Formats: sequence, C-alpha cells, structure tokens
Amino acid sequence: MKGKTQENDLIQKEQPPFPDFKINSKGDLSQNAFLSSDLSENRAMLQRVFAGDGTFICRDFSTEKPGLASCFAVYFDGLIKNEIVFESVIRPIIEADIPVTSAEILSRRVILNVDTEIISTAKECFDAMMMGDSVIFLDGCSQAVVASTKGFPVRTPQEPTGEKALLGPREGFTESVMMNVAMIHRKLKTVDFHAEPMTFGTRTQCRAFLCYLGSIVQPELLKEVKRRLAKIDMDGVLDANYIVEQISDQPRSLFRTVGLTERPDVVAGGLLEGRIALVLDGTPVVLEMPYIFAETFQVAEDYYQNFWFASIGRLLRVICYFLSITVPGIFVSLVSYHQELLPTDLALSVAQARVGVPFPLGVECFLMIVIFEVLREASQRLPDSIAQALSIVGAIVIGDAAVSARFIGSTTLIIVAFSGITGLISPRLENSVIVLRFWLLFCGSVLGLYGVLFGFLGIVLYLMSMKSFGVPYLSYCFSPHVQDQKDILIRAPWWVMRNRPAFFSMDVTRRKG
Amino acid sequence: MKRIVLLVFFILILVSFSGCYDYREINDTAMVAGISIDAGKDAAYEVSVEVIQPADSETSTPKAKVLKESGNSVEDCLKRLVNAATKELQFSHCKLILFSEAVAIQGISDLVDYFLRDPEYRSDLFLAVVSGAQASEMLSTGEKESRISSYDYAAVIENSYTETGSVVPTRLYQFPMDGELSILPVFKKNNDQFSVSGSEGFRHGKKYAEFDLKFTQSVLLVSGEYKQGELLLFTDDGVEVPCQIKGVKTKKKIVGEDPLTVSVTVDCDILLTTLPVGFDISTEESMNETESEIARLLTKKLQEDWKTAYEENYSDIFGLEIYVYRHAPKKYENLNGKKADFKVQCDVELANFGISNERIYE
Repeated sequence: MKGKTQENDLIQKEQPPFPDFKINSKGDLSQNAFLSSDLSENRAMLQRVFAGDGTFICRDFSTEKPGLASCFAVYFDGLIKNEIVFESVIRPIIEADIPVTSAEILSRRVILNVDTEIISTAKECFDAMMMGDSVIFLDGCSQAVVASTKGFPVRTPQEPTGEKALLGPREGFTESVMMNVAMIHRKLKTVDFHAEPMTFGTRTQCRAFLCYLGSIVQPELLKEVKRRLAKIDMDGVLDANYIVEQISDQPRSLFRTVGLTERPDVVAGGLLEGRIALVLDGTPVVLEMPYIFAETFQVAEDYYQNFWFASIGRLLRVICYFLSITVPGIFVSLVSYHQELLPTDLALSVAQARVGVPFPLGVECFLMIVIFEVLREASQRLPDSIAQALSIVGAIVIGDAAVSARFIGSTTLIIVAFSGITGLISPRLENSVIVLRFWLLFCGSVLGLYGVLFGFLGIVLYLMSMKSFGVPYLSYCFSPHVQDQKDILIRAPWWVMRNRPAFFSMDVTRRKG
Repeated sequence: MKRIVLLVFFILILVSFSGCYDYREINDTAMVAGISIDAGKDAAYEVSVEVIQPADSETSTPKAKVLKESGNSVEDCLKRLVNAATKELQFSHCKLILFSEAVAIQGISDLVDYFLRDPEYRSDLFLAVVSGAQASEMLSTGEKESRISSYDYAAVIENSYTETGSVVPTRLYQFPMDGELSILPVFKKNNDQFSVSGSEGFRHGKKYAEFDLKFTQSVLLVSGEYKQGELLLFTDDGVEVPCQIKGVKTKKKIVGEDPLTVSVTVDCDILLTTLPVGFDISTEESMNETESEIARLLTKKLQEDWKTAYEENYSDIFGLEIYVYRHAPKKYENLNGKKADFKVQCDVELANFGISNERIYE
C-alpha cells in the first residue's frame, strides 16, 4: 500500500538544507521535504540520496536562448527509454521559443509528453523516478515536472505456457501491470470497468490494480477483498503468491481459494460474472476472487469450441482427477485386502507380476509415486533438451530395468503411470493431487477399501467446510438447480446459460445482450 | 483438544471397521480354481483342489497343481488341504465344484449348503457332476496339459448354455435346498478328454435321473432360458430337420382348472441350415406351411419330452408345478398330489438366411 503520507513531518521549504532522508524499518523515508527553488540544492540533495545507486543519472542542460533558466533532469538508467527522454523532454526544452520560467509553462507548453505532473516534494520526486519517470527541475522554481518516460524492458505478450489453448486468443499477461490492465480493458470496453490503483510492499512499491465491473460485483464482496488487501503489511511483494497467501480464507489448504490465471480472456470472463481481479506489477499472473472448486476443471478453451466437445473434455478432467487420486489407493486395497473383488484374470496377472518383488505393495506404490514425482519435478525445471534425456532415462530405468530386476511389479508401474498421467490433465489441481494421492494410498494400504472410502469422505467434508471470500468452495457442485449446473460438469450452450453465478454477482440475469 | 479427541475417536472407529489384520500379499496366497469332491475309500470324502501357480516370468502362462486330501467331511478335507499347502489357499476365485457320480447319488445338499454359507466362495460358481470317472481326474487334466482345467470347464458350461442351449448352467446359489428339482451338467470321459454329455436331475439334493443334451434343450426352451443353438427335429417320416433357434420368448399361463393345465407358448425364430426333403420355401404360402410344420414338430418334441420327464419319471424338471406353486398357490394346493396337464403351443417364424434370400421371397 501507498505509504502513509508524511505531511506532518514536512519540513518547510524555508528550512534548508534538506534532511538526511533516513530509511525507517519498513524501507520508507522517515522524512519528507519540499523541493528547493535553488537548483544546486536540489541536485545536491538527489546526489546525496542516490549516492549508492549507479543507475542514477542527473542530466544538466541549458541553452543560450533568452528566458530559459538552467535545468536538469533526473532519472534511472534502464528504467527510462532514451528516445522518449530526448524527444519529449530534452529537445523541446532546448529548442523552446518561449521563456520557460515556471514548472507550469514547462509542463503545459514545452514538454511533449502524454503524461506530465507537477510535484513539489522530494518523496513525490523519488516515487516518480522509481516508476521510470523523469523529473525535470528548473532553476528558481520550487516545483518539478514529472514526465512519463518509462521504458524498461518488458516482455511482449506471448501465449501463456500454463494455460495453452488450441482455439481462442493466444495472448497472455506480461510482467507489466499497465499492459496487463490494458489487455483486460481492451476486452471490456465499458465505463463500468473499474481499475483501482494500489501499491504493495513498502520497499518494492509494487503497483497493482483492483479490477471489477461496478454494476455487477457484489458490494459486500468488494468490501471484503479491499479489507483483506488493506491488511497486507510487508516490505516486498514480488509475485502474486505473496498476496494469495495473505488474503486466502484457508492459507494452509491444499486447494486454492484465490484463482490465478495468465489469460486476459479468463479475467474478462471472470469480471463479467462478478468476480474481482487483482493485477500486480512484475508478475504475469492475475488473481481472481472468489474462486470455487468447480473452476479448477474449467479451461478457457471450453468456451471457444463446440459445447459437446467442451463438455466431454471437462467431464474427462473431472473423472481423471478423481481417478488420479484414488487409483493407487484402490489398487493397493483391492490387491492387499479384497482380492475376491478383482476379476480372476487381473488377480492372476497381478500375482504373476509380483512374484519375487521384495516390497509390500503399499511401499512399492509409494516408492513408484515418489520416483514419478521426482522425474516430473526434475523435467519441469530443466531445459527442454535435458528434460527429454531425463524422460528417456526415466522410462528405460523405471519402465524396463526396474521391472526386469523384479524391483517393482509391472502392474504397479501401470497403475502409478496411469495415476500420474491423469493427474497432469488438470494443471490447476496438480499440487493437491500429489498430496491427496499419498493420503488415499496410505488409507488404502492400512485400512483397505474402507480406508479409501473414509479418506475420500474426509476430503469431501474438508472441501465442504471451505470458503472463498464468503462463497462456499463447493458452490454449484451439488446445487439442485439446473441453471447452476450448466457450467460445472458440462459446458452448456451459450443460449442456455442466461444467468450469472448468484454467489458473485448482483444482477444475475445476463447474456441476453 | 476437542479436535484431537474427535480425530482419535474417528481413527478408532475406522480401525474397528477394518484393519491391518486382513492384509495379505497376493503373491503369498494360492488361488484355488476348482474343487472336486469324490467318495473316499477310507474316509467319507476325498476333496481335491486345483491351485493356480503364477508363472515365473511375464511371458509364461500360469500352471495348475492339484492337491488332494480325504476326511469325514468336506470341511475336514479342506482344513487338511490348508495345512498341507505352502501358501494360504484363497477360494474366492474358485469357479467350479465337481461332484462324482457316487457323491451325487449320495446327495449334495449338505455340501452345497456348506459352500453357500462360507462367504469366501463366490455364489455364482458352477456345479457339475462327473460321470464314469473320479471328479479329481477332471481337475488333473489341467495339471498334465499346463492349463487351468477348472476355468476351461467352467467356460465350457457357459458356452454350451449360450451357444448351443444344451447345458443348464446351475450356479451355487441356484441349487435348490428346499426339495425343488434341479439339473446339473454331466461331464463324461472320452479318450482321456472330458466333455458335456447331458444333464442329471436332482430331487431333494440327490440324483434321480439322467437326460441327454436334446432333452436339456427342451427344458431350457420351456423354462424360457434358451438363448440360441442347434435343435434337431424329426418329421413323422423320420426326416431330420436341423434348426438353428434364436430369439426365444416363452410365456406360461394357467388355462384349465380340472385338470389343471399350464399353457406354454414358445415363440422363436428358426433358421433352417439345410432345407430338408419335402420342405418348400419358394413362395410365401409354402413358407407359411413350412413354418406351421416346424412349429408342429417342435410342439410334438416338447410335449413328448415333458411326458417322459413328468409322467414317466414324475419329475417337474420343466418347472410347471413350481410355476403353479408360485403364481397360483391355492390351485397348487388343490392339486393335492394329482398331476397337472401341460399344453404347449409353438409359434415359429422362419428367419431370413442370407444366401437363399431371393428364393424365399420370390
């Protein structure tokens, strides 16, 4: 959040020299001061404050033309774009035909920049420079002009790697907050679109925008989100997860209660349903609130393709998720406790595969899952070329050598591989899948099918107890209303989905134009 | 604290529902594929079990081994077998129980009752009788030929029922314990091979009659459980009429009071695999005549078979008295030992048979 204004600490401009600008424990300036009308005093103050920063640049320039006072511009190298500074600030001042005697004239009539601002305190000057703006000081003037010259390197929008889609838009968020907000705004061309500016981290001063559609969002929900965001008090916010963990209803939970997305279309869709988005600077991920369990199975592509295929895909994701967490546990419980439930041929082939295997089935499954997760984790972080080599080694070592050496049974390998692959179908649930798979495997190994059943019931009860910003986490999953089910297990055709989710939005009727 | 107490309580309940004591590694158990029960020489029974031995490698097939013990009861024999086996015997995958002829005559009700009460046995396993040889011999064929004979013979019973309609596949839970009649398939040894030779009728759990395969087809046709199969009919002149029967629908109805008469209508599609001499299907009229003639022959066969079973052997193997008992108990009481009458009516439709399609509908 923006640091508390230090108006009370202001030192009158009649009281030069400038204070020492000591940094307090939160990384903020302990004092503020008005700018001086003496150019050299301002320069000295800035050079003293940024003495340890090699990127600080103070550019003096003057002209022989009458009426132009001496001036200098300060900025950070790398945060500005040289061409913009030269074309919109330095050249216009040097070539100015009118007497430039005040910040007002400089701002309004000389500088050719889309966004200028007149400031009068040192803190405003520092903040503007940190954001990549240039500050121009005039001799004999106790105000300075801020010109927007941001030009730090920004990645161009690319297809999001975590949420790929064959159909639909390919653009993804970047690390620039303004670009991200612009991408959302471009999809929601309405005066109803709100983007409230915020900053997080006293040292990082991370810029953020709280986006929502004013007439759709529920006021209580907005109030609650703002209350939780206002409570965040930390010196550095470098990524969305810094915020997520502090505003979640269940921060220790395996399941997300705050949505994360890399796609502007997903955010726009969420806002149209009455959700609230938080766009943070420095991260290509936007937070969506509230976030319910059913959303974990939804992907952007569902809405860009025929509803039949979208529904089949979504059902597959749901089924695969449950298979992924339950299959190892059920397999171990069936083979170790309830062999009579296995089809005879399967029982025979399992028994045959386990001849000579030294570990009990539960331990064998556990080891295999660990190895699978190790391989997955390693291949995720490694460069593509090495990851491919790792996959081959993993496949040969585990798939062939381990079975041949009777280290593991081939049926166990199939079960664990199936569980692993099905777990990758819903990337949003990837983390919870790992833990729940181990949990149900433990239940199945120790207590048989009863254990799996009770373990699963425990998960369902836990999910039922969860909330996301006051909205039940399993909202709509068990709703008896047909209208609520149209975007949960299946994706109904658009002409059928006439209502917004009632939990999030004020006006539930929509999609009629 | 409250949560911890609840958690401990929950775990205690969970453990009491199930637990590690049930745990057994599948490769530490020996699956029993089939059981045979013979009359013992020194003891009452001689019980053999066919145990599956998983293959040593992924490519080889599982083998079978037959273990044999004798005792004064089947339970006694099985306990001895459990003690003799190197691995824990697991009976949940047993698919066949074979009784020798001697045991069948002696009565199998108590034995079936024992297996039905034990939850480890599947109640859908097949029962069969071995005639002309020891039942254990049939299990041993698998041991010699590196196959699991119990599963093979169970498949034979199932296939014979669904494909030829010549076997009544009586499962463990279907064997009547209350004096009702039942039929079990019979295997006979021919040149070291066992094959289904017919059926044996059981009354009060004891064998009382033998039927051939054709008779079994009649029983299945009347009971409405006939799926499909070849049926050989004979004209009055003794000409063979080979019929392939499909789509059988049987309806039963009580039509007469004195004597009590049960009408059975068998509606089926028949495919003539070869056109017998004297039959013509070239015109619609001749085809209708052929259909009527086949229906008459089928009716005659069913009526004759019923007479053989009911009037000569006094066997309700066709289940008509049972039908009266279940659907009109008062009328059954009125029977009071008298015999019911049986009226059968067959409705046959000749099925289209491919290559001669044009000839039929000319």
